Formats: sequence, C-alpha cells, structure tokens
Amino acid sequence: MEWVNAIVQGILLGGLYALFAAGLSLIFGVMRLVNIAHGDLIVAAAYLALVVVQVTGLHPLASAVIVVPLMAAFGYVMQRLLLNPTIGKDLLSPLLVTFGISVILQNGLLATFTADSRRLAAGGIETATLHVLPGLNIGYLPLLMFVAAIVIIYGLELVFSRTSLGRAFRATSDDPEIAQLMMLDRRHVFGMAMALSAAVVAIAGIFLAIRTSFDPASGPARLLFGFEAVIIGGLGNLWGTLAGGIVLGVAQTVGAQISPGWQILAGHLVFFLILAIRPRGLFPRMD
Amino acid sequence: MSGSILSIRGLRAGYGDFQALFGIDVDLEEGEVLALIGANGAGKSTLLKAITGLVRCERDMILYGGQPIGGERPDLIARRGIAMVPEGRRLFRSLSVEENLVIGGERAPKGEWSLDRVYGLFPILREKRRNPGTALSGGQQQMVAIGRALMANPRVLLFDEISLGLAPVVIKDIYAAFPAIAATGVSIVLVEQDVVRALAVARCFVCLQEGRVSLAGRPEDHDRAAITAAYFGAANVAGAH
Repeated sequence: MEWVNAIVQGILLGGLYALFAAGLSLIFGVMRLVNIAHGDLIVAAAYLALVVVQVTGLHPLASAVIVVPLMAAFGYVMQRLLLNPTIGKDLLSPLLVTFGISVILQNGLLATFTADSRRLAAGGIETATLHVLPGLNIGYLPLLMFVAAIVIIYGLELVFSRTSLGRAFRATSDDPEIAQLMMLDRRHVFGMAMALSAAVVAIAGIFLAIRTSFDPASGPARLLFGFEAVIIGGLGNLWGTLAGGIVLGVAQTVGAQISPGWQILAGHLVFFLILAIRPRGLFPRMD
Repeated sequence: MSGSILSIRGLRAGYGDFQALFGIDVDLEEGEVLALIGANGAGKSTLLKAITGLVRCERDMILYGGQPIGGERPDLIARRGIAMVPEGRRLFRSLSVEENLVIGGERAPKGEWSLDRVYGLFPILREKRRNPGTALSGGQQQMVAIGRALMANPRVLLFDEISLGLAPVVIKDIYAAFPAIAATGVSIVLVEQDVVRALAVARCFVCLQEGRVSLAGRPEDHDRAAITAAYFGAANVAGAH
C-alpha cells in the first residue's frame, strides 16, 4: 500500500507540474520561444499572492481574482516591450532576454522580500486529507491542484480549438508571415499568448505558495520541472503536459519511496530515459 | 485623370543586399484584371510582396486610392483591403479547411463574399470543410487559398502563381472560377508563368525582366514576338534564332 500511495501522490503532484508546464508549452507552441523566466514568473506570482492576501485579507485561493489579471497584464506588457523586438530574427536573442528577465526578477524579489522563505497559509486546506483506504490518504490540496490542472488545460484546449484567438495562435505558429495577411498583428497575438501563459503562471504560483515554502531563488527548479513535463509529454500538446507532469511526479514520489535522496534524481533519470527512447516525447504534435 | 486604385511609382525593393526591383511603375485601374508576366526571377513575386508589406519599400512608392502605403505593416495593408493568394498556397496546416476560410474573413468588413458564397464557388470545399487544409489535393488547396483571400472581401486581390505545380485539367477548374471573382468588381493582379492563360483573362499586362518593366499595355496591341522579346530579353531571343 505504501507504493500505491506513492504512485497516487505522484499522479496528483503531476497536476502541479502540468500547471508549471502548460504556460511554457503554450509560449513555445505559438512563438517558438523558450521562456527561461517562466519559473521566476511563477515565484513572482507566489509573492504577489502573498502581498494580495496580506493587504486584502482574502483567502489565498480567492486571491486569484486579483493575481490572475495582474499577471496576465504583466505578461502582455513584458511581451510587447521586451520580447517582441527580439522575436523573429533568431532563436537565441529572445532566449537571452528571458534569461535577463529571470535574473532581474530573482534579484528584484530578493531586494524586496529578502531571502527568507515564505509560505501562504490557506486555513487548513494544506493538511486536510481524505482517508480513501487504510494507508492511502489523498490531500485536499493535491486533489484540488490536479482538478485545477485538468480544468485549465481543458480550457486552454477550448481556446485553441474554438475561438478566434485560438485560430490566430495556430495560424501564427504555422506561418507567421502569411498570418499577417489575415490582418493579424503579430505583436498583439504574441502579447495575448504571453498574457494567457502568465494567467496560468498565476494559478501555479498561488498553488506553489500554499503547498511549499518558497524564496526568491525557487524559480529555476520550477522551470526545470515544467520544462521536463513539456518534453516528456511532447511539444505542442497541452494534454501531453499533463501526462508529462504525471510521469515526472510519479517518478519523484516513487524515487522518494526508495530513498528520500532519490526524489529529484529519479525524476531527472526518467526524463533522460524518455528523451533517449522517444526524443520527441510521448505525444508530440509539433515537428 | 485615371481611376487607379493601386499605383506603383519607381518601386525599388529587394532582400537585404540583393535588389530585385529597379524602379517599377505599374497602375491598376479599379475593377481591372492586370496580368503580371515575366521569367523566373524577374521580380514578380517581390512586387506582390512589396504591395502586401512583406518586403520593405519607401512610403510613397506604393499608392492605394491615392494614399501612400509603402512599407506599412502587412496586417494594416490587409485591413485596407488588399488580399493575396500567395505562391505555394501557404495554407495553415493546423487549421481545417473551414477555419482557413474563416480566418481570412473574421477581421474583414462584411461584403460580397461569405463562407456560403465561397462554398458555392468551390462546392468540393464544403464536403472537405472538416479536413485539415493540407490534407487536400493541390488543386483543392489552391481553392482554399483563393477562398481565404476572397473572405477578406478585398478591393484588390493579388494572385501569385496559382497554376504552379498543378495538372492542366485542375488549372482549368481553377480558372473557371475566375469570371465569377472578377465580376464582383474586385481589382486583380495576376502573376502567372503561363503567359497565354494570363493574357486570355487580363485586360492589360505588365512584363517584368530582371527587375524592370520591359513591356506594358493591352494584349491585343502587341504581337507574340514583342511579348516574347520582353519576356526573355531581346538578346536571348536573337540568340535563339
């Protein structure tokens, strides 16, 4: 039962990793940009949630009504001002800009909030559990994160497949030159993609803040988990990120079951294994 | 004076250090079909790309309804009412046939052309509307590309090599739709390597050679030899005799 429990916890943890990964996958899909600052944006969203909760007294989960639009607006402006001028020439320059944003965010958070690790208290939801079977407990928070991941990915898929904005995303991804002839302003389309990515980042940041303690240097590890989930799942496939997140989560919890020191390493090993066997991931949709 | 909807004035354009056009003058009259002919590399596609903003040029080198639009952003030029059927069709491969058509029109003013009208013009597309655009035959893909441009209800429509790589019987089908398109009053620039076919549907033509206009006028005013000379260059024709 210990092993079953480890696998179940891993699956649920995969929901959080899918939330880290979905925004990353979306940005890569639409504009072929690897956003190195993605993890730091998640941490910045966590701090933003902290401030919002302190100032307004809202429940951490309810802080989303403020954190999500603020992050989305920040993402849009960041894309228009910093990233758009570098996009299209080569792959390296926008990548370097996101690296710069990453460094600035980390140091900005450090200067503002110090290096102390913080956590967002959510009134007991962090520790509440359902006793499913003897030895198998499911926490409310992991379950909520998992359900949120499914709902968000389903929502993103709907946006991509059914809306005018989604068609604009796909057309711009397919052929950015011809997409302009469809009266699409590429700068705005990219801005909207980053806004949507940042909205998902906001949710991921709030969950991160409730689930674990975080500090200004927590970003890069979140980027790595998100990135691994994207690659395992297959580029350009949002449901794939959920599968990738679950594979990574299960690898980590099973690794931890073997020995606590193996938790993170097991995740990386499974990532390398999948990369070696299926270099394009489990469910690739993009060339 | 003239009722030109589109005037090209001394257009110079190219790609980086490579100059493809050396001072081109072209006038497109409202409601006219203009054939743009010339050999490979004469600069036909570059001219269309300059008109649509995909290739940079100076502002006053292109006048649309008397207004300078040269070098404007492609999406803004498209909004003004200039649409293109690009060479090689360039359908969006992750969009279905219907989505390819819809995206062509969803930011455009309502007008003559709608999804139903396009399906009326190319009935096969209604059958295939749920298929991915790129799963169709070459000729059907060309119909989608034409439909996508029509959905914008453009005032100026640019066709770039619509018969390239298609079987003759398919080309005939595509051109069968031409009168219905021209009848709506849209002004058309037709780039075509098949000179005979282009001159058959056009009221006037411009022949490019190595980035310059080598001959222009009405097809009936020039004999075959003059057009051939303008197409290949006089020296080449003389050498062939």
